[in-house]
Amino acid sequence: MLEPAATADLVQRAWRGEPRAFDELARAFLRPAYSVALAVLGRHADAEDVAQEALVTALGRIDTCRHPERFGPWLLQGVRNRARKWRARRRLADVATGVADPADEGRAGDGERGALRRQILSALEVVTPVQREVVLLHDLEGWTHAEIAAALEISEVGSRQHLFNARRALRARLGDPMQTEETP
Amino acid sequence: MTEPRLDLEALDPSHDKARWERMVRSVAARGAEAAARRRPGSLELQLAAWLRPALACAAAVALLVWVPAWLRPPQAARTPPVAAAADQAARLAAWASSDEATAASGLLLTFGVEDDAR
Repeated sequence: MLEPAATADLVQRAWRGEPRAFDELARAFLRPAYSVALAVLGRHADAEDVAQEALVTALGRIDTCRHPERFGPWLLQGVRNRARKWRARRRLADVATGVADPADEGRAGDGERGALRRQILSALEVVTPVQREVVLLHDLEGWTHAEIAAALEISEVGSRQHLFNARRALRARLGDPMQTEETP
Repeated sequence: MTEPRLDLEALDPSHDKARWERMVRSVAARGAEAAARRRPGSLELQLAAWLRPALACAAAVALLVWVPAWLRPPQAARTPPVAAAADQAARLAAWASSDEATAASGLLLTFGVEDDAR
């Protein structure tokens, strides 16, 4: 994740209309936006769509970001809101079309990787939304607890606690293959 | 309080690098385009900002011009001054060519009353 000062600099350059600043912001924040959307939606394709649309909206309205150094939390709140609306609409659509399992996406043609993805997404449903965000931002995006705490507006201790609980619950659900290394 | 890191690589959205790169560029371009439309210097935004007051002014001017004109009686209903003068001349010519004496009431109707009515 970018340092707040670097983020503020990019946002201010984007205010002035520098195309390079938009590119760097998109590069830095599309993945975290995807993780937060995935934490809410639990579906890869939906999370991609929501992350893209939320980031386009945020960049388009970047003049309304009053604290440039807090662009990250501002964006992720927008992603979260958009994902929740998307999920509400999707529930209605799922009822109408008879789709039962949210992790059912892309069952055909994505091989072993797709199967593992479905397994993880299904397991993520057992943890709370904030635990999902913390574990995805930490273990997928590589954010530190300080960065997660700032973005999610929780304490660092809280972030550690959520990560611990999420990992334990996921491991209990998934088994040993998920383990890679020891981290605090 | 430690719990080993999870391997979530299967969820990595940038697994297909080329696709991810296209996505990032598309988002950046669309975001920049949307921001440019909102920037104060942009022509579209300025036109949009002036459109409503300009329409309001045009409507006010139209009202000021058309309402009094609409309330005024039509010009065609009045007797034009040239037509009235021609009428008087015709009557005078008719009296002059006839042998009958002109009545005072006729003179008043021809000159006095019509002049007052005009």
